[in-house]
Amino acid sequence: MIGCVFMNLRKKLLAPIEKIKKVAQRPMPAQKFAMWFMGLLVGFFLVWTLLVFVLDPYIYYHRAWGLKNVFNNSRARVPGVMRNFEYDTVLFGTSMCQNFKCSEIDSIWQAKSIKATSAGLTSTEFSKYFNTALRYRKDKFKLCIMGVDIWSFSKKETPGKGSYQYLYEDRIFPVEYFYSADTASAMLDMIVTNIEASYDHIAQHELNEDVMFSNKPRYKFNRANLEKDVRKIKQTPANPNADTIKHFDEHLFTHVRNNPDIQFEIFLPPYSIYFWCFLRESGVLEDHLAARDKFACMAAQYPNVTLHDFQADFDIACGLDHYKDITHYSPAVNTRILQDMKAGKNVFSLEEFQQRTNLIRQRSAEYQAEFDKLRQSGKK
Amino acid sequence: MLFCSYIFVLAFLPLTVLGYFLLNKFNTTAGRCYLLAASLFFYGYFNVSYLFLLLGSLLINYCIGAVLTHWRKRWLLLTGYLINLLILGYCKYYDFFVGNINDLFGTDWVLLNMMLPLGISFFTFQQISYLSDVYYQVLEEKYSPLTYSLFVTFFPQLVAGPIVLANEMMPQFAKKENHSVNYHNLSCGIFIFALGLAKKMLLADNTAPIADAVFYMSDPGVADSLIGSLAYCLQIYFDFSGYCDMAIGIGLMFNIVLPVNFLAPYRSGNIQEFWRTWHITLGRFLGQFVYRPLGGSRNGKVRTYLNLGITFLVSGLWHGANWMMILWGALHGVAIILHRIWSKELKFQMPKWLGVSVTFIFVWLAWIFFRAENMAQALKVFRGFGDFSAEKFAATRENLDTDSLIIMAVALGIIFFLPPANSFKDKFKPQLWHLVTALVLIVCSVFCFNRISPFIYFNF
Repeated sequence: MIGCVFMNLRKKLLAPIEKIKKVAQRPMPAQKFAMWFMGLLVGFFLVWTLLVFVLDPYIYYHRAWGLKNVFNNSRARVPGVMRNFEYDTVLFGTSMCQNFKCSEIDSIWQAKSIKATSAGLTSTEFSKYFNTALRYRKDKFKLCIMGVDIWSFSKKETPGKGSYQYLYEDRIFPVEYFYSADTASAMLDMIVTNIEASYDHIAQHELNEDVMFSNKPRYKFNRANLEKDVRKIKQTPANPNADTIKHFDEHLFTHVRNNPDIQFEIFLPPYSIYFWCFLRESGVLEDHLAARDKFACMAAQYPNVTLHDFQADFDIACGLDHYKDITHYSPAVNTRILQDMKAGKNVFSLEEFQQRTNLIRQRSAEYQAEFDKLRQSGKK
Repeated sequence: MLFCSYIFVLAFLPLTVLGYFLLNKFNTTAGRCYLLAASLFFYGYFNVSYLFLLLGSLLINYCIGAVLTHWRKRWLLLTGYLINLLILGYCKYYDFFVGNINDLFGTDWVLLNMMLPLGISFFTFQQISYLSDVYYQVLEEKYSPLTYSLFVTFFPQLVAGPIVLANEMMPQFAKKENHSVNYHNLSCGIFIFALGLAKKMLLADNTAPIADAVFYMSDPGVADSLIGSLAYCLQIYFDFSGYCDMAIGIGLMFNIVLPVNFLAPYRSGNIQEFWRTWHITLGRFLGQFVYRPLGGSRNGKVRTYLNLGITFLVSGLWHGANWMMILWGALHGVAIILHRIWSKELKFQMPKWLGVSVTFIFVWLAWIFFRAENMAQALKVFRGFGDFSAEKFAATRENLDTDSLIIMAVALGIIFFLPPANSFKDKFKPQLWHLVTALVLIVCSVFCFNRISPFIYFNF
């Protein structure tokens, strides 16, 4: 009896599979096979091409039609933003600059801005971004705001180098854009994020042009998180070397020299005081401080460069509740940086700059014991 | 032009197939000229200067063949062989030999540092087979220069094989029935091409980074060495057999049947069977032109073993002009000799499962020498097999993503449990699932074209 029920159940459950199997194994004439294959393949590629052109997830041809653009994966979207957005000001930088708001830049500097920020942005990538902005907005591009991390000029490798090269080229039909798994996934992400935006604030954040390429608002900035990071951090930033100085010139000051009409407002971002302690622990503090001084000397040679030093702004650096880890600060600090830059509060002579370098050395030494204690507790 | 490139799949292949059959409707010579021009364009797309070498080699061999047809002189045949081997030797082995002489005697002879012309080993071997077929009167009729040129340059097999013989190819190009569309061949070709493309794009290219990471690791542990070397074992199989499936598939679209090059080699019960199922056409060529001329198995046991050893050393050297390849060839030679001793002399038979396991493990480990750039790199990977430290395990777990392991598991499943792609060739009857599978695999593969790596066998 039970066996009979079981057999019937099995039969019922397997029935749809058997049906599919039967249809799938149905023989078809070879000519029909070949014709259907060609027809379906050509049809699929035509529809797909149209879909990519309409959605244009990387803003290659136009701003989004119907849906809103998603502003994540900056390396793929910065070229499109530069090509298709209106602007006269560009903010360049690493993850230290990701949380700036375009609207704040616009109101403080009376500008129309976009952001070209990418986590771990290297000097060669900066150079590529800068050239792209020049190519598309040569006459309008007047102000370059830039956060400079010494280590980003020390890296030799470019993250993701080459993978988005086609986005920088003015081609009518970049085939690798249309037919790639990456584009397909970006399109899907775009559709899903637009749907999610009706109820999810993180999705809304990703669609918000004003905070383009910023971190998702899920991080908490407080001392506890900073200390947690101190306990577990392992990787030291790239150490400055002879190449670093060469890169300053090749990838930044070349643009300064070649574009005297563009004003460069460069700032050194305020890392937490523990960052400097970490460099001391790793034995590279003096190299970083020397490179910092060298950078200031180089910047001082150009009338179209203003250097703003926030690294020795200890109101921020020692206010440990501003941070989520040893380098990244809260959006409130971004607002303050913009206001102070406009007011010229952190501009110093070379002599003063070197004194501030000394101050970093001294203040971080005061915090070293506290830092070491946290590190020890992390090792346990 | 790579098979797995946008230009090839979306433009070159459809246009060539379409143009060939359309022109054939009006004039078969025009159709075949078009196919020849397309093949030369395909080859010249990599580097135009190689085209001159190919055309030069083609012309010399056709002329020698034409003379041999009327004037069968052994010295002429040997001269033909020598010319081919000299060209191959100059392009492929000059730097290797001169470099070794420089190292050995402290001389300072200048190296060529020349980029190896693509497919030179393949088209040289094919033309040697042509001269032999002409001399031994294997070819039943005299073929036109156009048919000969198509035999050598036919683009599916031009750059990485299979190594075809004149007597199996030239009659097919000349046969009238092959000049019009055969929908059965076309649909079978499409299906096998899709399988080959997917093998390359979805399996080989996804296992390659795992292998590369381990071979460039400074100090691998046991898990790294195991995973990395296994990944390479899978990569080389799917890369090369994928290429051959694509070649066979494209050949079928033009009604040309190319010889099978792989028949589930990793399921072989012994090393001899492995070499009967791995790169079959190379084995066939070396058997015909190296092993048998040396005497084969006709002159006693010791000479047979020696001949086998020499043949495998040549096989190693053919794969690449460096000592690692020679070592790899020697290892396989020793394995073949040992297998012959225990199976023929000692009459020892292993259970099938044990034979498959031993053969697979041997082939897998031997690939480490094949992949390594030098002995130090190979030894580093082998040392890793003995490093069981917990730290290394933790590091491997941290670095390895689950996707990689899933891909490797799927690849192993395909190797050991699914029928080889070639098996569809003989009994193919189009069904709906073939159509859906071909479409899905081609679309998925095309979507991965932006991150391709070239075929491994292009280097040989």
